[in-house]
Amino acid sequence: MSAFALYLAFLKISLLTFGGGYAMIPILEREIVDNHGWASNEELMDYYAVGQCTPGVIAVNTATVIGYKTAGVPGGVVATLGVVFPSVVIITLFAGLITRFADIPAVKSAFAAVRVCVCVLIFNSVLKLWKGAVKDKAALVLFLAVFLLSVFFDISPIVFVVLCGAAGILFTKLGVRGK
Amino acid sequence: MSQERLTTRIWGLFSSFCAISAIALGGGLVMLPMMRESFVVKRHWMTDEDMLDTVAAMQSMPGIIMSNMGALIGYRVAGVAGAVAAIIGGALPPVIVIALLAEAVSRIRENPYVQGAFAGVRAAVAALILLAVVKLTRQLIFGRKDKDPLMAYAASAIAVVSAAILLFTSVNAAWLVVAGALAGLAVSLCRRPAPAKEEGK
Repeated sequence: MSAFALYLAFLKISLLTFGGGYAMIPILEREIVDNHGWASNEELMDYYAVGQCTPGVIAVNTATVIGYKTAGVPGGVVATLGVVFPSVVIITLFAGLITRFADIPAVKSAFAAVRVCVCVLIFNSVLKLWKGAVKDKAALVLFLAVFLLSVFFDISPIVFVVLCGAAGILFTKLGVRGK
Repeated sequence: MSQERLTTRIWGLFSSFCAISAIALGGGLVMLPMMRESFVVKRHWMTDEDMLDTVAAMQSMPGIIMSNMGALIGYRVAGVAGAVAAIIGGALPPVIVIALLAEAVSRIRENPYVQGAFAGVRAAVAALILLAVVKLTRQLIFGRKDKDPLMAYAASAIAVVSAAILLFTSVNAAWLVVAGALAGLAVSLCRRPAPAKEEGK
């Protein structure tokens, strides 16, 4: 698996991502897990989790991490270049047009509909990832706790990530994790 | 803006996006307030309205938020060179940090406690993503009910049909997005009879 294959894969991922970070998840799953087999669903979740906690936006971080895991530092660089490249090309070719394009009512409608589809796709991906994430009762408890707490309180995601990481350590110590 | 030399602006774009990316923790939209602070308030390169237009345009482009915003703002401020500078600035921090950390993290991962921590984090992330999507979907479908009833009903229909397609067929996600775009276009065509009412503000 060459650096070029990595670059092309992330180029494709970027071009298919409509609506930013979360929308990338289903595409990542399809490309990285299903098509190329560079990672499993579970590993993808881990990379995404790392992406949440490191400086930089999740989307770019995830690309960098996957690239690094697949092919070392050059892989990280190549994957990142691949994922940001389409934007340069698009803006160069369509610069003046994009803002006018975005104002056309038909286009607004189309993208509103696309956003709904993307939500459904993400939902579907999360269900698949869920199987890799919630494997035992301890994880299920954490999952439900985070879900309910974030419905009722406005807590930063990072707080949840850190607390659940700590909980995970605690559970391991107590021998509660049922693998 | 024409007071500043091109090279100053290019360097400004690079350093601003580098700083913003380095501090940003989380999803792409986190960067928006920081970008506003940097480009509207401090540097006066754009107005708030320009910012809103840029965000709207960004959502109509494929690609990730960070690089789309970088390309749009960079181009506006300093042409193609500006776009490239902004994007490289934004992409640099993750590459550096991960190159430095990842090796250390790999070695730690063998540790069962670290594995436990990651298992906990995975559960949290799954819940957070799920919730974000549920909120987004509710907003997309119900948020517009008063302003745009046709789109709200269409959105519900599209959601149900997409879910069905995903469950019962193995259609590629990309095709689903294309189908969604076409459905949206169809909805706007249904609207034709009353454009005068909307535009005549």
